[in-house]
Amino acid sequence: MKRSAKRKRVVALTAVVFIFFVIFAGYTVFRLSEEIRQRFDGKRWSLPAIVYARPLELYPGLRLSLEMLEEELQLSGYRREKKEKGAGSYARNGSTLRLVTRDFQYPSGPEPSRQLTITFAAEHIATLTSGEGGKPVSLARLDPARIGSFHPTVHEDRLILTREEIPRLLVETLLAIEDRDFYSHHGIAPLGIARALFANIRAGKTVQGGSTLTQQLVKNLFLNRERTLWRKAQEAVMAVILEYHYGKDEILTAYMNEVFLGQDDNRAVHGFALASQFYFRRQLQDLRPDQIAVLVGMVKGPSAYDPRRNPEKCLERRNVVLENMATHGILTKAAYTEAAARPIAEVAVQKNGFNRFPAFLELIKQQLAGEYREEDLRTNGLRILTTLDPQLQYQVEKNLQETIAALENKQGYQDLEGAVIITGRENGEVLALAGGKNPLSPGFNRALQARRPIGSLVKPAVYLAALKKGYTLASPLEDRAVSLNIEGSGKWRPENYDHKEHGRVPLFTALANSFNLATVHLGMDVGLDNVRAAIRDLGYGEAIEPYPSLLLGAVNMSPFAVSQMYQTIAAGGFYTALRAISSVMAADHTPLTRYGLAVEQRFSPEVIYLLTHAMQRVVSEGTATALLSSPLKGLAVAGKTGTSDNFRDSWFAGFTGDHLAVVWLGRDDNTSINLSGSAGALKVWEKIMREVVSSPLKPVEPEGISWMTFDRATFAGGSNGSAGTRLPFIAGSQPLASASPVLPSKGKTKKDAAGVFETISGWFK
Amino acid sequence: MKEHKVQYPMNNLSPPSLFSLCRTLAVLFLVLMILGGCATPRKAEPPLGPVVPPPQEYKPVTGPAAALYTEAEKALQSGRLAEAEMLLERALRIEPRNPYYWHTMAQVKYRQGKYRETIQFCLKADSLAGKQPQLATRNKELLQQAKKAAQPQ
Repeated sequence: MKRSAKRKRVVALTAVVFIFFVIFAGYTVFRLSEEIRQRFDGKRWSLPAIVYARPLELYPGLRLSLEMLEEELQLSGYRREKKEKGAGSYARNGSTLRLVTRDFQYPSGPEPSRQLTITFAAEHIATLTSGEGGKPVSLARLDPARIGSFHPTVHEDRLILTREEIPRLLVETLLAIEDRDFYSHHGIAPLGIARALFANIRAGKTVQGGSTLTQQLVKNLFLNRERTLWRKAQEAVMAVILEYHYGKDEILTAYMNEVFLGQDDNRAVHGFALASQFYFRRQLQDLRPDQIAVLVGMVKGPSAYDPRRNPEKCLERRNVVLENMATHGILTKAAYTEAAARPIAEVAVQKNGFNRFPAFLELIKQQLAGEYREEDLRTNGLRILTTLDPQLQYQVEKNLQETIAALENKQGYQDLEGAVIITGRENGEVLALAGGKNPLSPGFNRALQARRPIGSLVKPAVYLAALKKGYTLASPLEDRAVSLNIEGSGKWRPENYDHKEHGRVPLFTALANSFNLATVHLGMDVGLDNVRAAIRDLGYGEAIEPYPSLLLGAVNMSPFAVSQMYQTIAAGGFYTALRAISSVMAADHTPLTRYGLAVEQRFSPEVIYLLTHAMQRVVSEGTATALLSSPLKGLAVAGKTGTSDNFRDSWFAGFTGDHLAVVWLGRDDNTSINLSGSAGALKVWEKIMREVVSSPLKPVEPEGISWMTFDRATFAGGSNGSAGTRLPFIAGSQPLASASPVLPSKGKTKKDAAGVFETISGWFK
Repeated sequence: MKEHKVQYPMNNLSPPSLFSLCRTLAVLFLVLMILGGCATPRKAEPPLGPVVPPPQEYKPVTGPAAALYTEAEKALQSGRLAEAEMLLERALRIEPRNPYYWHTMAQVKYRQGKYRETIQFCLKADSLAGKQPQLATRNKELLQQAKKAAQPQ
């Protein structure tokens, strides 16, 4: 009796324990199941936003050399072959280049891959045809280069494939090597484990893994790298759960996208699609059997079998995979022999633009900041189409660096820095941007963040205000010493660069030669408020103090802000916010934000026409005549030099028919660099623009303009054809032949200057 | 900017093809009326012929981006305005100073009901038009319409 009672108790206890165990196990499974579903259904991976350069438009007549196009293709990750084959390949033959573009989804829709044949003649595209028949094409664009992404410093990167996009050969090979029974097991394969165990015991070491693909996926997605029995059990349970909820194809696709296949500095290469790009520069569907074998072989150990670092081991492993492919009938005997005979080749790391342009990416980030959170940029896989012109960017970086090095050499110091911005003259698109002489060092972006006195770069705003008020290019200005009382800080006595007075000079000469005294007289007459209004209308949004020293550029701006102001002049008086992004698409290519073209007229075409003419004279007879002895002479550049007090800053801003480029040089600690605008920044500008294909500046003449010759000595207008300087005038404002200069209605040039200044000196605060 | 629907009154600018067709028909009608007045059966016979002066054609001057411009015009005619806008931006990247492209951009903005932008694009087109009277005339017409439409009702 006692024994049976005792037995009953034991049975009861066991039952209770068992029930608790079942409940606990059930709960655990349920919880795991929920967790798995949540993770698997939701966003499986955080995808960094991808940033693209502008697509290159090709058309007959385009000024582009074969070498330039090839550089562009290399940057975009195209591969060179003997004969172009498959999307993203090209072949050169004499002056002909044949290529196959890659599919690309634009906000306006998909543009499918196409074959193009381009012939070159004398630095331009002679013919552009498509397909075997050689059908002429009037215009075609290359899919844009991927230039970067937004991600944490250490990050995973991948290109997501769908099941349909995975080549059959890859699937068959992967299953043959990693999980033969994938399509029949339920997440775990006891037979496989037994087989692996047997093989391992026989070999006396681990030669086979028993994990199914599902287990490997679970391990990669949900678990840490710990190798304990408990984790192994967890992995098995989760694999079964995953199989229960999801189909084989879905699991296989996830595996293909998840698997870790190598390291590229801080970037972990995940998934076969990215690995194919990273190692072979090919799309997955274009890989040969031997290349697929390399990638599948790497699953076992991405760094041990890295084709670049360990080519011998990689080759050995690849051949094991190839043999397996042959034995399983995936490869024919002939195909096997051919593949196995191939060396590990075509895996060299090639120059590409990926994350090569940190300064430009920073501008992108800044422009996106209003609309997207940092988190969105790192995780949502946004596609950002930008305006960057990679060719131009390389020229900017190279020439800024080289010219600074040469200047440092000459000056005998080391820490000269610089910044450059190039924009499209009419549309305000940022084509290139350098934030310092070392393009790869992130950090202080001088183009955006350095705020420096702009010196004489402010003068066009002063002269614009004057022209608006009725001054003409021929108006006489007094370039004489001036002393202004500034309340609280005594007298201000500006001087000319050459410490001389030039007497009475025509307005255009004063701007061309950057005469300070004439400009101060002019600016005081026009009124500081009008000058401030002109600066604001040009596009500078921040507050400006109304000190007279403003007239000589005692206002701090970033090179980017200067570009914005000069853009309005270059674009004929139309303000356009400088843009570096054209559109943003979601990961699935849905257009999200478009940054469209918008213009706003801020100045009449007539006054801008006059100002532009005077700025062309800066180059033809003023402070930037250095350009006359350059190949750029024919571009009729309009520009302005700028130098700040004690030669701390050297500036040049100038535009051609197509481009506006602003260059700044200086030191981060704000000490003197002993370079004027023309001795420093202009040199950089010249070197860069020399390498850029740009058309000459030919401003469209507005209706109300008439030309007249003008005598610089007497200030008299002459008839057309007589000797003198030909100048444009707004109709009705031409100087009279009688040598009495036309003064603006409220002109005060004849009045005693000191008297005028005394009456208004109360403003200077 | 939020987009809003706009009703287009009949007297608004119509697509160029329709525009010129109407004009052609009007001129044709007039000529037929006149001819009808002093008609002899022989003269009335050909309905179309050299008697009718050809309507003043609006022939845009285009360069390498011509194909994009043509596509943009088509998109504009069939009301695919966002597409037309993107095509024109692309065209303007290639030929930044082509006043015809800027003018068509103004047309797109007008159809979108963005009259302030229409005005600005008209001004831009005008500033680049130089000596092209037909474009200048069309530009001024559109500018006036946009100014009228932009005024608060």
